Amino acid sequence: MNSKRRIEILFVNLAALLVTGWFIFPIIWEFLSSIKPPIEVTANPPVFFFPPTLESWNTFLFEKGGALYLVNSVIVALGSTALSLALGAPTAYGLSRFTFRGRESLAMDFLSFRMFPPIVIVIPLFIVFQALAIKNTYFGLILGHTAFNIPFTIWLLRGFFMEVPLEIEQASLVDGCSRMGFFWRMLLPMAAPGLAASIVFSFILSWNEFMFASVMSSQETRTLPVFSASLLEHYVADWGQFAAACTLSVIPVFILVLFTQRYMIKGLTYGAIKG
Amino acid sequence: MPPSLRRFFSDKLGPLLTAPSWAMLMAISIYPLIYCVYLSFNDWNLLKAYIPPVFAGVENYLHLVQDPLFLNTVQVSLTFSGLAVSIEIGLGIAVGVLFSSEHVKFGKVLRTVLLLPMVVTPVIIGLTWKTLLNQKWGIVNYFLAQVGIEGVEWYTSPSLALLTMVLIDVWQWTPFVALVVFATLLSLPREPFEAAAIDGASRLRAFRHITLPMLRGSIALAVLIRLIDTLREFDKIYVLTRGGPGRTTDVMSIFAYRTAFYHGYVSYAAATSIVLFIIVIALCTVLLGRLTPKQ
Repeated sequence: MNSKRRIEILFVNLAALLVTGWFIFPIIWEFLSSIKPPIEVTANPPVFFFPPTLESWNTFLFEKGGALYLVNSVIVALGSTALSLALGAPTAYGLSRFTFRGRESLAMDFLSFRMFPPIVIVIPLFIVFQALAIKNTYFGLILGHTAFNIPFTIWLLRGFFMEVPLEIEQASLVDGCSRMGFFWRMLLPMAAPGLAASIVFSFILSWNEFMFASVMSSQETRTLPVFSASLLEHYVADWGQFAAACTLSVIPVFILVLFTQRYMIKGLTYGAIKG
Repeated sequence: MPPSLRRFFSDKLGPLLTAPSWAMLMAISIYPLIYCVYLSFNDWNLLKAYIPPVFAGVENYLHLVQDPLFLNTVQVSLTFSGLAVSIEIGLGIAVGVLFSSEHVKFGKVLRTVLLLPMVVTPVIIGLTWKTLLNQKWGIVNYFLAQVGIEGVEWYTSPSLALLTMVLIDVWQWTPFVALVVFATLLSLPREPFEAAAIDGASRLRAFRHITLPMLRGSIALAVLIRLIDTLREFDKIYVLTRGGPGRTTDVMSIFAYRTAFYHGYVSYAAATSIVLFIIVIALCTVLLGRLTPKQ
């Protein structure tokens, strides 16, 4: 190995580490801030070594009620994920394993919901949900997030369903399985990784959503992002609590991404790139 | 079930399976969109909700094009989008190419880390950067002070705030472009590169004349997705500046949100959001038209 090549390898690895560090640093810094003694969070110069404490976590979760909003976020995210999957999975099946006129354009129609800026839906739904008295309820939040989730779920699952070989379906139909029977007993288990990916994706979308939740939730039903943003309105900002809120919000996402990272790119590109 | 009905269900099973999703999206996306259009042709303030909506024709839209605050918000949105997308694409290609090098150790772990910024809650990203970029004690200014740059007002200075928003978006979404580029590079055939190497082409030339053209489709797609998303930007800016200082970061979603939910003027906000939607559709159509290969 000549020295020029060795320098190149060194350079490439150094660059890759620096780049990765740049993208992870803010998240790590917030985590560190969350376990700092609260007064040291805003210290200048910044404190790099400190005795770790859970004081900010305690304030955020139990004194300010962060735990309640964490539960709210989980309820809404799970609810809208379940609803999107229940509606989206059969649709994805219909759009991937059946031939009928206009199938592709119908699939594109579902995709085009991707272009809707949320504000276009949030303003009218605010009025409608108020009239229906489902504003400030979990049900309303779940319904709204489902509007954003369904197109993603359909598009992701459709890609996964299409990868299951047609021969398997033909064979099971010959063996007397009905088409819906195939869907339940064969297709869903075979597309399990895809199912997992869409569940994760849908969960994260709902978990992260802010605009809709900020106008549709009350003091009792608001989700974690809404509560975190509301901390800003306090007269004296408690930056340690921010840090705890940030870390708390990142943890589930981080765990989910670790398990399904192979499929995340597919989800993020909305199924447009085969990967 | 009578046989004819059963036949109908089995013949039409494919389209029928899509019906529940359609019904749902009709109720919570299409109907709201139509209602939004309806609102935009009326005059209605929620703070005076006892006065029913009054039909106003295109008055809201006429008002919009003369409203300096609205014209400002269009300009801010387009600037934000244009800057963010171009920087993300440029940096993303560089990072994607870097990670495609066979010499990178622990590439898989590093790529997992790169996924994080784009799946973290945008509000949380806003709060995180608000902490990091704090003028007095933020760690970024601390490091800058070490090289002699003191007290940068990242999000409180009118001339810098929008650029800061762009940079935060770049932090969040460059990995997306990078990973798309990376995935595409992996799927490319090796032969052209080998042929180029045999012919003695420099690596820069090979990149310019082989890699870039083959990446074109994926990059165009990344541009499309990022354009759609940057034009609807709301969460991060809401937590960081709420459109200020002055109106320097007042993107269209923030403007519409404020108009609707602070001032209650839903009809005017509806018109704003319809204009935003039209801008998104127009840009997508133009871009998709250029994307689809000419036959």
